[in-house]
Amino acid sequence: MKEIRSRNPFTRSLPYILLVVLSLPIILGYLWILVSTFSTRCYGLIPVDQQGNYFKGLTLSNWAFLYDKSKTLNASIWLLTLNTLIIAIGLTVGVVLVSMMAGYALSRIKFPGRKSFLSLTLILHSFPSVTLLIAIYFVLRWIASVPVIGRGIPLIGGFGYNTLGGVILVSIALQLPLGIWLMKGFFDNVSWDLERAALIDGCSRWRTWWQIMVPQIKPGIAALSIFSFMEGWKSFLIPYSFMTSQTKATLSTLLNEMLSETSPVNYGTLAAVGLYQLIPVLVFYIFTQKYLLNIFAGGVKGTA
Amino acid sequence: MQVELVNLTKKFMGVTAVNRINIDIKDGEFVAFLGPSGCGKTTTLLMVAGIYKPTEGDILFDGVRVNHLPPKDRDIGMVFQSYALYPHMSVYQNLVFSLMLKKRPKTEMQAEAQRVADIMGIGHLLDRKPGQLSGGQQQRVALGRALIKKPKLLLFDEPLSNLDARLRISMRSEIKKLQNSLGITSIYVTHDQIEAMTMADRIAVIKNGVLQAYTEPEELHDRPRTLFIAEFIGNPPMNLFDVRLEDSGGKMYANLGEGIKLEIPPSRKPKVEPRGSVKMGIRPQDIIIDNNSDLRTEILLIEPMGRDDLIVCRVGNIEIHFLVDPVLKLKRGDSVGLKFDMEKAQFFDTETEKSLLWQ
Ligand SMILES: Nc1ncnc2c1ncn2[C@@H]1O[C@H](COP(=O)(O)OP(=O)(O)OP(=O)(O)O)[C@@H](O)[C@H]1O
Ligand SMILES: [Mg+2]
Repeated sequence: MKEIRSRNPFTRSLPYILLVVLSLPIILGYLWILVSTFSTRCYGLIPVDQQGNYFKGLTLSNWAFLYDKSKTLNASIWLLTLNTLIIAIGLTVGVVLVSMMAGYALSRIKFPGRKSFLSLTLILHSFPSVTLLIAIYFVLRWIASVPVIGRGIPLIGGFGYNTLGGVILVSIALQLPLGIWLMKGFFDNVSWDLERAALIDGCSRWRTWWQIMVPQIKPGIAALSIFSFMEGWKSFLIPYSFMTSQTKATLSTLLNEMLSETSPVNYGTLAAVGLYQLIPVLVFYIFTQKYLLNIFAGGVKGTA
Repeated sequence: MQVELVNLTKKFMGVTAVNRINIDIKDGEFVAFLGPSGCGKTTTLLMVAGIYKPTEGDILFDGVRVNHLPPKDRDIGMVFQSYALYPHMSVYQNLVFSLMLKKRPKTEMQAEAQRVADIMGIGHLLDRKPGQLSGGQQQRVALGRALIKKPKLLLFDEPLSNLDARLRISMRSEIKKLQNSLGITSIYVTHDQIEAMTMADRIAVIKNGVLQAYTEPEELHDRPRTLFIAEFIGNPPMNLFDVRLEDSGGKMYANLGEGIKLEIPPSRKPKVEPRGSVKMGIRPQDIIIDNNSDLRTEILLIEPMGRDDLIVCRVGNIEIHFLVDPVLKLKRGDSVGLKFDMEKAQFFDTETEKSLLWQ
């Protein structure tokens, strides 16, 4: 194929210049977080000390929040991290399990209402979750009144209002349409013959699903897991709306609280907590981006 | 195992894919389902396998109705066109998967795997994944996987159509030999008539979900009951002409038009009263060069087919195909005389498309 390329170096570099200029605010934002995390004060991107000397005042004191509760509105950062982790893991497990089963059924089994179910989930997916908050609030309040399930489960508290489980439940529900469609797409790409061979070899339907079909869509499962984990880790709206007590908050809600404090905001600590929340995501992303790309490639790479 | 299909019918949302098919298969018999794409061969096979439930009709194994038996309880092995090996398992695991599900001891699984690996010649591939095998090797593994269960019925769905021509021919005879020595009742789906003709004891010809004929290969070839079978069976395909039957002086003639009039021998006189013009069919190998013949024509095209050359020529509007020996070294534009071996002619009713000779 012949490459179409403009001779003029200016027109050739124009798209790049445009892209850099447009993403500059974001890049500067991240840079600012990084710099201010390690400095007493900042003038723009330049760290300064108390006396106002440029390029001075580098410090680790902003990271004191790791052991000093007073820096984070008296909430233990480790407890909040654990909470965030529980939400992320709970969301991932729930979404992946349900999507794998629902996606298989929608891909392979003919049942009345299959088409309408598919279009319904698509509509639900495009629903802004904010509009559902009040309705969900009432549902969670009701669940909370159910014995044991409401607020009697260890670790996640339960599935009612003001519990980790409640937040997980709501997040799963909101994430499911995407997950189900994704899994259905991956299952659609697996050959019918593979399944028939398994049935003839003596598998039950469940076993076929678990031992033959699921292994074929591993890349899809990996992608959905990563995606869901990150969704859960950074989620803000649902935990913010349905968890009121300090000890049950997450890293996102803590950041929000710190920002809206009435006393002068400590930007150094704020940036440090922000970076702290960001690190796992970055590390995770670096190691898993090849699986994430599968979501957009949307299929199993063909083996046999 | 003896298999019987009785009025077997399958409808997909109102569309009839298989329409009241009746077939009986004897124990140890090798039956081919032959028909063009989309005629319902796979659908029929999958009903026999228990993957699809019949809309109507019955499937009997050894006289027992098995309509509602799940695939795993039918004692069958199946080989797919796409091989359908489990990509995430090694060849060994693929082979013994069915035994594993039956919780057989490990030593037995190893012994059985060795046995079929020896039969199929895949012993050196046991540790590989299917993705690391060639198409032919994958098909051998698939066949081994079907055989390891010692099934009472083997089902093949176009197992060779993804292989290259050479491999196809050698696998063809290999499967046939294997089936013969193991004596397993087999159904073999194909749209390749040569495959069906060379392998099968009996062939079921299917068109649009309807069974057209169910009989031995020679019978299909020599005594086609319908125009469809005559056109479909045989390579190169049969010549078909619209002819008018004429009586004169106690003899019967087929008038092809363009001044071609051929005498019909008594053995080929239509047994059914024909209505006006009929279709006459004659295979390319039954037309020979005879330079004393009045029927002269010029060669339009020569298609080498290996053992023979297929010659295309034209008399007026009538196109005639016939086979000649390549040693004759005929060239395009040569003028030749033709003789029809009318002892091999076929006649069909134009409207019903049924044979006028064999009913
Ligand atoms: N699951 C299905 N749902 C709806 N229609 C189907 C289904 N399976 C097959 N059909 C239809 O039934 C008819 C027969 O299909 P079938 O697969 O049996 O054909 P075939 O003879 O095996 O053809 P081929 O040689 O192409 O494999 C086709 O018209 C097909 O479109
Ligand atoms: Mg088919």
